[in-house]
Amino acid sequence: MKLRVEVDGEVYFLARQPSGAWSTQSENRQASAQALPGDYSIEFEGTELRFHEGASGTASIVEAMPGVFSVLVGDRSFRVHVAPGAGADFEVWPNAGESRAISLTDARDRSNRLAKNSTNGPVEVRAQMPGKVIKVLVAPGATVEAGQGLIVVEAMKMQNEMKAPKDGKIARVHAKEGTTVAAGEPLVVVE
Amino acid sequence: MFRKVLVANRGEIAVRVIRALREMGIASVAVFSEVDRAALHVLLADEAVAIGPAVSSESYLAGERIVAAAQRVGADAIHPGYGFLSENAAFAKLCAGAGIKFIGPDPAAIEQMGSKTAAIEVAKKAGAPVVPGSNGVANDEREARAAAERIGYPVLLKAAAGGGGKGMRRVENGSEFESALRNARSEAERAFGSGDIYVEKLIDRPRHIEVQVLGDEHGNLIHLGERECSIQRRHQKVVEESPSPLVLEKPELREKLGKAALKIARAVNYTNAGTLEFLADQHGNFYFLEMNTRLQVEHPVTELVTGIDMVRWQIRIAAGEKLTLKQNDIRWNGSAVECRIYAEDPDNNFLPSPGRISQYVEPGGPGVRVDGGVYPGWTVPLEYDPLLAKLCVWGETRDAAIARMQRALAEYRVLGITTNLRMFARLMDYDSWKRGELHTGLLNEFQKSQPAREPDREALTASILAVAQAGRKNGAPKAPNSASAWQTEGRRGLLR
Repeated sequence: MKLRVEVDGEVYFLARQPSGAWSTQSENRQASAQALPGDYSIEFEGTELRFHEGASGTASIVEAMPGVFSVLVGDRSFRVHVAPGAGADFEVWPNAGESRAISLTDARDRSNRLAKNSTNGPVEVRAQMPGKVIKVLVAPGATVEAGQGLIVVEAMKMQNEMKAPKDGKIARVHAKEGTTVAAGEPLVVVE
Repeated sequence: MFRKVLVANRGEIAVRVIRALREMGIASVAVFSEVDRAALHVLLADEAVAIGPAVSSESYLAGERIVAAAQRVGADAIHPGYGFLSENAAFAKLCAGAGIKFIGPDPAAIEQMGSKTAAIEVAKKAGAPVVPGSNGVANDEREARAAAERIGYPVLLKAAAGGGGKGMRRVENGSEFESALRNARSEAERAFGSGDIYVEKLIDRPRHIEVQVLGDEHGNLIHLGERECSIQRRHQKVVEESPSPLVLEKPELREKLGKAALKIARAVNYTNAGTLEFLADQHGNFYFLEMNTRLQVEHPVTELVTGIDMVRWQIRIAAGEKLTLKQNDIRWNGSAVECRIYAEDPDNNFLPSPGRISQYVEPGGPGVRVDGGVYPGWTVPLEYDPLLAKLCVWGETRDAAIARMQRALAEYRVLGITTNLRMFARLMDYDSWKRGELHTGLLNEFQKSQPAREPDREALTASILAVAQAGRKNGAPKAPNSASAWQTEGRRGLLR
């Protein structure tokens, strides 16, 4: 059993050893030395979860408030805020550090995720920010050049022009003037 | 004194004014657009009136609707906050016509200072320094070029009706002049409907320093010292402080700035709160830029160092009270810094990030003041300004204030939407900022200079573990895959 943990684009795996222990490793072998300080024996509110090969430390977790966890890693105390994320599954924010996006998936599902980022074939142009579509500059069938403006989205008095990622033809236009869109929502397909 | 005041604004400034009214025992009336039905200012006010749909022109900018609302609830006065109708002389007149006091200056002063070129004329006549440049709008290319040559390159071309950097061009030498003028004109025409351009001397690494003034309706006028607002993105302020580090270096500068500001304000018989903005060079020479005839976003830093409640004074002055503070009564104590917490992504060209705030925790403790307009669960609308809150701190010294800001930033949590909190945490640690060597391009330099940071590995572990725990407990909220992974694993005997 392997879990894939994506942290701001950086991928780690939590692997379950035959012994029942969990270990962490980075996708990038070179980075594995930089990966999580591995071997912990973890206590989930009284329930112990072994997270190690040769336990070198302990961690303990308590949910202090809804969505706020007290995590002790060794003797270091962290207050970690966890909320549903916009792009990823979770947004986390530990007290020592900055907000991060974390996704947890079964490692076997990975191929599905990667496929979405492919740049060959049709490319979806997605909204970079939530907002209102104020202009649609292209129609299906139009030929566009890379960098050409396709859609203008406005939010909070700021306009953002979405540009063609490559030369090609407009296959589909999802966006409609006057409608609101969420960040990441597909607007146009260029093929 | 007024019995009931309508606040013609939204967000943190509406909350700020409602708080002052509550402290003064005056009933407060909020107005709100459809999307702001459950906004914080509505929750805090004594009364709340719906004024229209989300689009500002039909709600917060709809002067007649707002005056009608004030009449209906029987408000004696309207506080306009900043932005929206605050510098709209026609609205001030509309209020007066309806027998409602506009809490701000006289419409004539708003009109006089509303046009940048007219304001500069006022300043010149009053004997205050202005940036060397064309005398008003340059009529044609020949006139504009002559002005540029008289002042000496580099020069700046600016739209007379402009703001926010639109219609502005830097010109290094005479050969670039013609095309720069053409571009500036057409940009200004598109943005403001007027292609009027004036020419100005370009000041290298300029600092933005402004002076707060307060005047009553009996001829008393004082200044409350300066604020430095050189930390800007897209020509908009994001960090402000008082005193200015330049004043800390050259203490005589405060009085010089104050005198210049008072000269200009006196020339238009200014009343209520106003701000005179100056551009300063690194040697302490300064030039009048423009006047804001309203309460400023960054007024809290002045309040923190002077101990004066400016909104309270605005209301007292509008009610006809005399300013009991004399210039010599004003004392400046310590240092105050404000960070504007915006719903925007500093790592993605400061693109706005409206949306639902899933978690929200404000910092507290000694010397910390948060003027906020949001709460956990609130959906930040995409129609308005991205300002969520202003985090302000006070410290005995500038260093102490910065350390306190770092501490407060580390306590602040906004989840669900992207904010610029993280940028501030890094900026507070940036050498030029800490040394007070400020200029309006500093934030841009800072952004470019930021190295990738090594994550704290134990913090990362703690994060992953917390997510794992949250995922185990609740099932991952948004991704069925991750939930199933944990659930499956749980069933397989993950828990011993």
